[in-house]
Amino acid sequence: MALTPHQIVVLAVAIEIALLGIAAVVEFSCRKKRPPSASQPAGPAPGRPDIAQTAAGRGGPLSAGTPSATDAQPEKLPLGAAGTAPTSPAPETRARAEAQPPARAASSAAPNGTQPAPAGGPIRETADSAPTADAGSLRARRIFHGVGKTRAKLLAVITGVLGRPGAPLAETCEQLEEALIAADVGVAAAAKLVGQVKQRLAPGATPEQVRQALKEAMVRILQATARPPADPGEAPLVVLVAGVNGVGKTTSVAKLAAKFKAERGPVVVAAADTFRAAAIDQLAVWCRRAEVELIRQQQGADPAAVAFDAVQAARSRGAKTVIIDTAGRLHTRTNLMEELKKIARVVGREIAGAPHERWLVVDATTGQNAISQAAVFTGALELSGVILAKLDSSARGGVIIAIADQLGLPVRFVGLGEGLEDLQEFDPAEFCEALLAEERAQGEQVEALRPAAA
Amino acid sequence: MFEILAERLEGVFKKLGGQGRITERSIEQALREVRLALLEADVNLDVVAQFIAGLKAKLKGQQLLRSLTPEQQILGMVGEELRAVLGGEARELDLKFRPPVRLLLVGLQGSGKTTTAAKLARWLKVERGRSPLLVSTDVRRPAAIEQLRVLAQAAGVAALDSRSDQDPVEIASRALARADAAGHDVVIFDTAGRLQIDRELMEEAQRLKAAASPNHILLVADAMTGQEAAGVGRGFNERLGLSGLILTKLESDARGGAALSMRLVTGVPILFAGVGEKLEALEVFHPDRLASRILGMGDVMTLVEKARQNYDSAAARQAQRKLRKDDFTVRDFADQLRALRKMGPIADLLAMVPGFKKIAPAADPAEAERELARIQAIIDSMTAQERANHLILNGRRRQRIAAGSGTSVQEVNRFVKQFEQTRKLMKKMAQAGPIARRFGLGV
Repeated sequence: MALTPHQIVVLAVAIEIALLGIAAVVEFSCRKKRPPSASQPAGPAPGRPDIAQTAAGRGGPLSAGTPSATDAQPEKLPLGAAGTAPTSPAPETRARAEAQPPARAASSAAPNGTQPAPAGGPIRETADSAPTADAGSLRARRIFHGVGKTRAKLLAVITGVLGRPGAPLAETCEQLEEALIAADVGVAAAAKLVGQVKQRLAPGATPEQVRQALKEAMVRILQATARPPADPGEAPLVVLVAGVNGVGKTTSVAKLAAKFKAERGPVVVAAADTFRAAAIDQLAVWCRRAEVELIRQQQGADPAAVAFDAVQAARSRGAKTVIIDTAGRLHTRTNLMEELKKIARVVGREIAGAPHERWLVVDATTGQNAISQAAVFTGALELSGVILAKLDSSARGGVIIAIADQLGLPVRFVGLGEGLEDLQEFDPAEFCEALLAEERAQGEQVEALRPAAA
Repeated sequence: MFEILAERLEGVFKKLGGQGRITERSIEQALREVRLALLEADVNLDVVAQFIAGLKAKLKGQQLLRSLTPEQQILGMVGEELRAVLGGEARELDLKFRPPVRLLLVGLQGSGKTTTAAKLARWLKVERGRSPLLVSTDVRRPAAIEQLRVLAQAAGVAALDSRSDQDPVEIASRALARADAAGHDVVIFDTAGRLQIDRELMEEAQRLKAAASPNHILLVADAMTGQEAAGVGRGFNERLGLSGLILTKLESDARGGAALSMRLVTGVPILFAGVGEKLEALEVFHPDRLASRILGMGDVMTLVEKARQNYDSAAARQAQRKLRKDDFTVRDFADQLRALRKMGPIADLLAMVPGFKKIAPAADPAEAERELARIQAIIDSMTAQERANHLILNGRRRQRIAAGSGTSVQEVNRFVKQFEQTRKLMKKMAQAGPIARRFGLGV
């Protein structure tokens, strides 16, 4: 329906009101002598002066004048950097100085990798002591432990409520809905699931029947999104990994690299997170551990250029897979989403259909915002899947059901720890089984698995 | 206020046909809506139950005012309660300790501890005139120490030289010695990310606490956290005894219900909010802003965050000045439009403007987008002279513009007329004083 002229005026005015309000707030919040932004929206990272530039802009006098800065620099920096930092405000110099990987940091981090990554209680102990353990049983156990709390809650509901003679189905369903909401499934998806369960149940359903019905309903939603893995043909498979800040992209990329290396052959990783401080160093440590090649430029470089280099390198070296690690970006940052599109475009010009896989890393501890993340990222990149990271936490990961339900995005992998091998292919049935498995039976199962694993 | 909830409550009272009278039943129904709104905002289920129980007790004892509609009253109380629970007034980080004041930052992996440590150091230095020392005890995540070092340099504050093969506790002791020697009056300890259920690492944190004897232990938490926020807050508080919370990534569109969960579970104040990637993007936390946001009105704040990220403050100031002086031109309008469109799809933005849905419920966002594209084309087809002074737009010029922009003369006419109307309206508003105050943005 077309807008009437009146509505357009209203629209324009509303926008302008917002802008003026914003202007006042911006004015207020910028009062603290921030230099006027000179960044133009045409650059590789529009409107996002990197840390180096920010520092350089406020610059010289600030860092040179304080005793604290001089305190830090002599012992911290390579000579060249210590010399240039306070005196030269040129962003490039700064960026390069910062990006120089001090050999010390890298080499000292390396032995860390040989230590068994601690964390996570008994699961991890067995995992570390038994690297040869059957992958399937390990995975089941880990997922089981990962979602333990949720399961316990659901179970309490199912057995508790249905165990009570004559508990009305409606009451049961309401409680089930709550339990699902507590698992971050979300109000809408929970209602839908419970609605489906309700339909399938006779008034006198047993707890086991409810459990089955709920599991089937969840599996149905998750399985409906399944799609075959991308086929790159002769060209290397290009995987683009994206996500908001702090979800575990870099760690997931490392795990993926190790996995693809074992399954498909040589892997090239692109350090396209050129924004976050030391992100490249972090990825470099991981790539050394996984023994895969890393293509990098200095901090502040155009991420699309790094991705381009990586694709070229993969081609010339006959690598089978390219994995592109990107900077964390909140989905609300329009310009950064454009940057992401650019990476995909540039890679797509080199290899038709690339990036063949576009995966969003979602933190299992995230709530309903993950849906918004997935919606915006898929709007920009046409995602082909989700990696659910940090499922070894106490978090519930239920939001993936909402994501699958609302956006049709399949979960491809789950992250279950901080080790290179802690990435497992996602299996809807297994996930739901673990989510709903009866506590005691599964506990026995875990006990039974232990000798086999050891 | 609280649009989402307001709509819901209105729906309830309409359904009940209760002509503005509050009955037991209508309260129940209204509370149900409040509950759903909170759950949708990721407030923990148990926390919601606790919150609703408190609200119910208050509602029952309440004498109802005839001058207000029931939904207004309930809304008002929800907002009040939410603000109270979130901590009422903004709370300042207490620094009145014998120097060096020691701050320990803890949290889950990826919650933003390292960035927050650097932001906090910068804040203490710039806003409070302190001389902080940044210390990374994160020997686990690759390059975490390097990351803090780089950020410290960017913030212009000192960082202790630690290495990943050292023991966190030993690093902490060394940091205190260094602070004494070099005269740092605040020491900020960044720690490795850890799960609150990870016994080994929580014990390490306890050892770190013993070694650093911090004045504050601050939990850094992601605003996008879901139901588990309560568990995280409880776990860290029980093991370490928290004294404050720092909420990160609040510039996202997360509703931030996690904050309410954590605040209720831990009982400690939320002190700061991280609102961007830059080191300056740390703000003293304002409970009232978040209260509105959780209930669905904080969209204004989100809009402001968006604007701040994409908006040129100098240009905004200039536009305001021009408005007041009455020389706001088509060119300025075009600039504003461009800035606006950088912030995202018009539909999303309009949804964030309070009350817009009420004024123009039938506005089709896709059509609005097209209309704006047309307006853009019209402006682009004007000469610089025309943009500077729209009064010279005669028939011939309008014809040329219509041809150039692929529109009709009628459309050009309409634009010119609307531009004039908009200009008048905006001028009035610009003169009415700081607009932000009218939105209650705490300026």
